[in-house]
Amino acid sequence: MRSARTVMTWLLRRPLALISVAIVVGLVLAALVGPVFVPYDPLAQDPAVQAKGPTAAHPFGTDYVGRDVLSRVVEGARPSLAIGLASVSLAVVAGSALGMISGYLGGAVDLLIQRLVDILLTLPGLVLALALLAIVGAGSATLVGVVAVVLTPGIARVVRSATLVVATSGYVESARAVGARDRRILVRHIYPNVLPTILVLATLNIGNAILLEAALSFLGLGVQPPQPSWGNMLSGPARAYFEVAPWMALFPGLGVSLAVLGFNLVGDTLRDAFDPRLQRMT
Amino acid sequence: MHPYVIRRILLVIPVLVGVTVLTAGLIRLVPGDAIMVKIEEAGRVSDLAAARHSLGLDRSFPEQYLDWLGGVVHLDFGRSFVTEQPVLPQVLRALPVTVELAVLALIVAFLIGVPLGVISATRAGSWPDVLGRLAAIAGLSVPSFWIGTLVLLYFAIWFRWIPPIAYVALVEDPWRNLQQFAVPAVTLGAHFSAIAMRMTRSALLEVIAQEYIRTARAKGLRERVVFVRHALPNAMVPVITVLGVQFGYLLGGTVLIETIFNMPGLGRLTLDAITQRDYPQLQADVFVVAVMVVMVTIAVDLTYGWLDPRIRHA
Repeated sequence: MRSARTVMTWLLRRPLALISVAIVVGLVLAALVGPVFVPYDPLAQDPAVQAKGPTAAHPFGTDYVGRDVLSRVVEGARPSLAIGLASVSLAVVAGSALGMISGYLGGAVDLLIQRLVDILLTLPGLVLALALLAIVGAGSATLVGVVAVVLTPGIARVVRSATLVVATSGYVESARAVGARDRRILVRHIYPNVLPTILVLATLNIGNAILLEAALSFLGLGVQPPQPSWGNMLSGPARAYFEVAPWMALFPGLGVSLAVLGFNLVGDTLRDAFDPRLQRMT
Repeated sequence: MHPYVIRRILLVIPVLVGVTVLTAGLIRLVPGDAIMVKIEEAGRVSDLAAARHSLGLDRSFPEQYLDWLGGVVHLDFGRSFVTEQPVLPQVLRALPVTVELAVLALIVAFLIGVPLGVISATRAGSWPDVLGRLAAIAGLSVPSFWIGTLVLLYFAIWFRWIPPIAYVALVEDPWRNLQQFAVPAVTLGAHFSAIAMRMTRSALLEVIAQEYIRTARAKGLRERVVFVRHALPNAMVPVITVLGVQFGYLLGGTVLIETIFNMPGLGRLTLDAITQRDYPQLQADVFVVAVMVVMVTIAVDLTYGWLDPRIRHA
């Protein structure tokens, strides 16, 4: 992939990859400039149009206090994307460091880190997240940290197994034989070789992070109203109105699904591009 | 017993101790305790110190934890701070709901995921394959709590049908019970059928590239027989492994599904225990979930070795 032209030819031969790039670009645009273009203030209540179905004025309908659903769904892209990207960045840095150290050093360090990973993976992620959020308090900022903690052990485990493959290869042994230090071997030899795995894990985990954020906001512990998020639009007093106004339930969920689908497709494409054998591990 | 099996079982003990220390520690870090929750609800102030003392909350964390652990060894999980009843019967009442939900979801995952994976793999690169893969990724991308909400909503709008509300056990009235569980199980299973489909496809593609499959084809077996009798059993090994690894996520998913469909399972019991700061109840819930997760992990490991004799447990 040397030039933009090569990338385009490569993409055009893969329709799914093209769709995924379109979705992610659309999502980023919605998060960055969407609020400027939406027809209404996402928080503005209009008593004249409470729980009205889709019309030309309100293409996605209005909610139970007369807020425009389209504007709210577009506004919801920002917290999802921001929390997803921030938490995955944290989790990828922590998980990769733990995984590489664990896999490369082995011995007691490996045993300790792996038991810690075991413990965290044995607790269902959602339960761990709920307990952590109860401690640090609900909200967007704490959500980033909590989602990162939940995602880290899974990343650490996969990066460790990728590291084990690299660490036993000939060139790492030769580097060690000529007296290279551990830190140098980790940075110069292991890291570049596990980087593809890390990148694939990162994209696939953005989808997981967005799903987790939506679930926690749905349970009332994530993004707090009145700030609209895809998860919290599906919970609280709104649920009582779904039967008379199903569009209130339909569109926020479509937002989540489309966003996660976009990142999952990018992850799949990257994985196929880097190394088909990665399929087994991720 | 095989030394590997014994080693695996012994390794479970530190993990379980770690999980319980973490749970007991985390929930005690949550601001407020069961007494404060009760006072908020009752709206009156009683003798705080005495109430805390009666629940043992005035002691240090190591004391509280070791006391609890001592009880667990004798299968005594203590009494709920809220109902003041022993917590174990509560867990045992909720357990069948969650286990049935999880097992039905896994059955759904196999019934949908494996055939779709086979179809995709046998026609790799064709339009059905592309559509199947897209459907699987879509299945992974859709939040279960949203699908659950929509299914309930549109069944009510279109068919005027609402699942029976009061929970009925499978042994009491199987038909009514399955009516209640069908929609939640499919909702939860959709995600896992996507995982099963993707694993079946990639495992099958890997297996059919091998030599014994060429031999089977060369001796004139029909393509269907080659796939179903020779390739599929071997391709199932990684599928079972991956679904086993996902079992913890499956139990986590039941928290949301039980909340939406109002089912009296372990997930909802756990959620309530967190809100009410009911330490003994939460610790018992998480302990039981953790035991199930590690047992499934070991079972998957052992099945793996049994299905594929090349894997020796040294």
